[in-house]
Amino acid sequence: MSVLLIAPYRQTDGWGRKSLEFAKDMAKLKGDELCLRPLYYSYNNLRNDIGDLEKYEQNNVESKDVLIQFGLPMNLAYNGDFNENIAVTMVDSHIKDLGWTQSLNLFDAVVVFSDNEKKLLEESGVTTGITVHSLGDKPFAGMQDMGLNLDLYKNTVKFYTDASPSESSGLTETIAAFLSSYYVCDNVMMFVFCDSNEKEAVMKLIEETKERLGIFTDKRNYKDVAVVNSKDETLLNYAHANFDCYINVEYGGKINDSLSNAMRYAKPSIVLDVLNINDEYPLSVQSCEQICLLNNRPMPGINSGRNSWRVPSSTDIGRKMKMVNSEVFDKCKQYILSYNKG
Amino acid sequence: MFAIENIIRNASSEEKEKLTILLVNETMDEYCSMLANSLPHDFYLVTGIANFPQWGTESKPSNIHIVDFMHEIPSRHVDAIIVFNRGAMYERAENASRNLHVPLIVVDFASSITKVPCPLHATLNLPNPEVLYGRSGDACVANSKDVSRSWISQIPCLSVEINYPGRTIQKDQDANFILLDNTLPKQSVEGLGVNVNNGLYTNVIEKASMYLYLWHNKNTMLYDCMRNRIPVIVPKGSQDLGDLASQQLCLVVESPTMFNDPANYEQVLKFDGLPQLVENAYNYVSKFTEEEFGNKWNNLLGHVCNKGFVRN
Repeated sequence: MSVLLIAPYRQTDGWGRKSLEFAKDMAKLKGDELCLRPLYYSYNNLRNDIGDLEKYEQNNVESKDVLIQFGLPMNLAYNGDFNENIAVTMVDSHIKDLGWTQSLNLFDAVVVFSDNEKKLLEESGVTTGITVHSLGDKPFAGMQDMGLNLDLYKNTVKFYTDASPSESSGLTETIAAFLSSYYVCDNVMMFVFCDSNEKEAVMKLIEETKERLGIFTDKRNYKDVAVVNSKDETLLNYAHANFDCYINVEYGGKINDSLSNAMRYAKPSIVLDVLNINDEYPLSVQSCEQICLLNNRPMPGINSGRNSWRVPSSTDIGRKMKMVNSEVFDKCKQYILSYNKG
Repeated sequence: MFAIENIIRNASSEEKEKLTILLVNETMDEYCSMLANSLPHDFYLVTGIANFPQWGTESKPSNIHIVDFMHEIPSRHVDAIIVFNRGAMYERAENASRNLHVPLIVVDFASSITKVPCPLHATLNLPNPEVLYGRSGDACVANSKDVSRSWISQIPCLSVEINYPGRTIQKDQDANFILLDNTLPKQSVEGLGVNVNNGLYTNVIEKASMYLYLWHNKNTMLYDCMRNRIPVIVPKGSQDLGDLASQQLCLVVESPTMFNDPANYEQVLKFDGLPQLVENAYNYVSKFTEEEFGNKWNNLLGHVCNKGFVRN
């Protein structure tokens, strides 16, 4: 049975990373029956090396059995030549009133990656059967020493995040929570891992947040935030292994690569409540439904104000930051371990 | 969405006998006609891509279609895009290639020295000429070895030499004018000081007894003239035409204004060495045939259109 998978796996952004993992899963499942073709929403920073997957790009479709399209709902097109059409997508917000619902309803099956995405699509009127796909285990990427003398910071709580400076990443709320919860004398640290092209924007966001908070006229009284100029997986693995608390409160509540790696390390993580790790999970941040507001959107219509998404409460992030201690961490670890098993 | 349709077609192992090719054309009508006459495929010129009419000659082969927008292409897919040279049209073609997820073939008539087709003595006004070195296609077709080598040395890519063989025309009985091609910008001709109002000039090849070539690079008209034994007169200073002069395929003159004096026209026609130059040029271009042109294009399109569209 021939399977043609069209996906943006040669991009290096979130869509690229997720679809690459999905393609790897499909390759394991379908072997030589898989035919892979890249789709491009952006031609910036493309991925040269896709490893063994390259051989599936050489394959052709012998018979038009299954077509899997991984992409934005508005770009997916049902193709009647194939016996089965499957749409794989990711959403942050509802997609009502955009015409995408009708498009997805033509498909034989829809695949998403989180319960929250499934809920968003169902609430938007998607009636096609929706499956939540759990990506297979990725091989361990290794660990790169950050060169920090951790003994010096033994009694310091080390928070870290790799949220991007984009408006829906939750970084603004995270920084606001940290800067308003802790001051210069507190024994805490905050690390923000970012790509080199994001560094300037992250620094600007931190300085602007200090200004907007207006707690101190002398900005030196705020706790410093360390910006790490890399998002390399091996460096983040070091943080997962050695730091205390990971923060990922991206709008929409999806599990990205870093969060799944953090969970693999059973790292206590401050996450959005829609992730549903466990009702008792102590570091779930309250979210509320808000109308989508963005200054910049990658494509017209996407996450527009007609729809809504789950936005973290910065007050609650701060609250969760303040409540961390070894007892809470132990509880978190237990819940994450049982979530991983389940 | 065209991209998905194109990707599916590309991935399909079905035999693709008839391809749908998008042409992004500015002044290469003759080349497009020869392509269409040599190959069984459908060729489309989409006005909306270039924002100007892409066809200037009166007639066109039946398999060249002009449409305003992409969605008017009935096959609902495109297999490849062909663009001529690496100037402004390249940008549009590359954008289309990226949006549609189909391979791009660049046909070069200008070397990396001339960069884009350029009239003699004109100054290229490119804000950043180095950008052109980064422009390439899934395949590049050069009209000569020199052109091919000049670009490969800048950026490696699949480069194929396919020589335009020139078309055979029926010359008029009273063909006694100097040909100036109508794609030459008026300002360039005026800037060179050529007096086009002395009754000696035509832009109809059938009426030509010689061709005053005022470009830095080679073009299709040059080959058409060589094939039809029309002497080619090249003023000194043309950048890409060194091989024509060294092989004695054209007559090199001091100045493009020499025919402002009509007596010089008669003198050139009576020049003893002219018949040999014309014969040399004819023999040179006779090595290239329409059949070979068609075969090479067929092979190239077959190869490029069956490769997956991958960018990295």
